[in-house]
Amino acid sequence: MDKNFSYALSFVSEDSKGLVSEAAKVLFENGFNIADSSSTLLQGVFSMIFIVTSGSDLSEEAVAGMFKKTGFIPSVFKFSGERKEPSGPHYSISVYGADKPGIVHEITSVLAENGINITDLQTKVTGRHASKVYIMMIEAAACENANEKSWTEALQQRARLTGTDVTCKKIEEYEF
Amino acid sequence: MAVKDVLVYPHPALKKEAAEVTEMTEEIKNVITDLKDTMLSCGHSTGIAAPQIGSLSRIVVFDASRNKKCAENNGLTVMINPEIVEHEGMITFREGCMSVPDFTGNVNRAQRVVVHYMDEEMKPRVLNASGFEAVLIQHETDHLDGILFVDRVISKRTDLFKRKKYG
Repeated sequence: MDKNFSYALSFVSEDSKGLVSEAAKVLFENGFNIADSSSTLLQGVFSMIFIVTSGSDLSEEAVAGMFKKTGFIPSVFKFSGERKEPSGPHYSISVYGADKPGIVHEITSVLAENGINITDLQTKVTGRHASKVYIMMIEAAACENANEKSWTEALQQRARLTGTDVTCKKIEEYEF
Repeated sequence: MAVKDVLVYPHPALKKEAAEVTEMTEEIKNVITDLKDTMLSCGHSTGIAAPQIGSLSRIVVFDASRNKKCAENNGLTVMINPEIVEHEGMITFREGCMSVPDFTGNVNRAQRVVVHYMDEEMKPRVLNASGFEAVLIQHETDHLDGILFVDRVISKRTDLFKRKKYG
């Protein structure tokens, strides 16, 4: 099999129509395959991350340069492309409480201290008036030998200190 | 009969609507046996639908007892022309499918279902199922309409933040 080279491209741009299409056109015309991607609109800013592969061994600068005509230049990270998916049990963790600084830091610190690997994290502030609520949804993978009772209790304890509520559910996954 | 190859998307049979079974023929009996054999041969499989082995007939076979975590279940069941006539509640499950390998996604399904169907003697039956078994039945009967779980995957972000306006 021919060797493939992997590149992670991230774009952050003020939102406008056609951004994904324009970026995908450059990738297609330069012979890249999109292996994985995530794009979303955050407070009017559109962010796109593409994991792409190519048979060509290119420098990060050369890949970024392909987007010169588009007006948005990605930041490019070249990597080995070996998939390293976390293998332990996966959890869905929701955290919410009155908005205040430090919630993400406090909660994710507990996860880091216990070797829990975050695979997805999304946050949002909701509410119109003074009583704004901060919501955070996390998906994370624990090590095979992690003590669930111990780290979830530590998480609950930190949640109490930060005035937030935490729910932690093991994700049941099944191939039918 | 035989263990069949499980068709994998983009095989066109997986996106077609299967036809009602009107009588118990030798061919239909063979499909049912093949479905059982194929399901049992896939170590972890708890259910299979006829289109997955290339037969466009409305038949599913499942056995929720093969999932050790599913305590309450109806055991090995063959359903001909199944129709979900009642459903209630909602459960989110991360599903995968033998016909869509290497991909999983969160899907919302009814928590409880009531199903009308014909058994192997073409006698009408009613089955109540909940939890894992209810999800399993919905997943398998979707195959009879050419619907894969990918058609029902929900976006986590959209799911959580879909409400844009208040009041």
